[in-house]
Amino acid sequence: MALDKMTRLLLELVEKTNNGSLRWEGTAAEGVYQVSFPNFTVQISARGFDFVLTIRNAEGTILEEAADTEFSNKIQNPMATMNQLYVNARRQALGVDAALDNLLDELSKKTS
Amino acid sequence: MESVQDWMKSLVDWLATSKVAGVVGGLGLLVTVVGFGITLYQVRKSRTAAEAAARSANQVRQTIEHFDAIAECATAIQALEEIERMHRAGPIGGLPDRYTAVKKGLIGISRVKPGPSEAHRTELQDAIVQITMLKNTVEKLIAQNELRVNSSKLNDITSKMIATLTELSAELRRVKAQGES
Repeated sequence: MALDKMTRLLLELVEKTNNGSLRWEGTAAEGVYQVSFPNFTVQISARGFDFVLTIRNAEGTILEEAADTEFSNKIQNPMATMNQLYVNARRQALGVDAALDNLLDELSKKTS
Repeated sequence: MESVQDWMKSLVDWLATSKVAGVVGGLGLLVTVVGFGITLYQVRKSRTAAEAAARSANQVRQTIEHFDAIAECATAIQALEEIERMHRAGPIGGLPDRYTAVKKGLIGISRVKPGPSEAHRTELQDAIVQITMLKNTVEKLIAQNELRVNSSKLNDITSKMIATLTELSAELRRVKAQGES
């Protein structure tokens, strides 16, 4: 039951991250990115060969964790799905798209 | 001289005559209705007074909570500035206790009623988890006998927290002023 809800959460996060409605941020820990809501925070992290989705409560305590391997019976290719989420979260947290937009803007000024 | 018993009997007989009984019954009913009305009015009046007292007490409690939260914001900002200095120059051994103190303050601020806006509650939630991550990261470094932390990266996080708390403090002041007016 919990895994069903975690699966729905994962898919919602993927969709909302792709359409840019979530604001992912880096954390003090290497390879851990998070997005917060008024009462909870969701983190995506890379641990060895696994991607892990973690939910933390209002005190920062871990409520639930699920690695990509746990979603294998729920969605097709969970590793690719979580990898996509991780990469997009990282890009947003580090401001990669904003940097690329800025660079392209600067280059267009040079050529014109 | 009539005995008291006879006098009482004649009184009861007189009251029992239909005309007098009707008047007495009517008066009794009137007294009952008026009494009931007065009772209802008194109950309503005391309930309104009790509600007004409860509202007033609640407002005082909220003002105190907001005052405490504003003070807590200032304390947390000061502690975070000290943490930034320790990130840069060490010693890092004292950092975990300071993170815990800031986290306690942030949790206290997040529970103030009426609470901050949804955007600020989200930022507070983010800050609580960020400070938890900072503590976990630095605890690991201390366990590995490291003497320094990546101050640039960690201070990026703490600077954002300071900005959040500064904005939040201003919002709490606004809410407190509205509550007082």
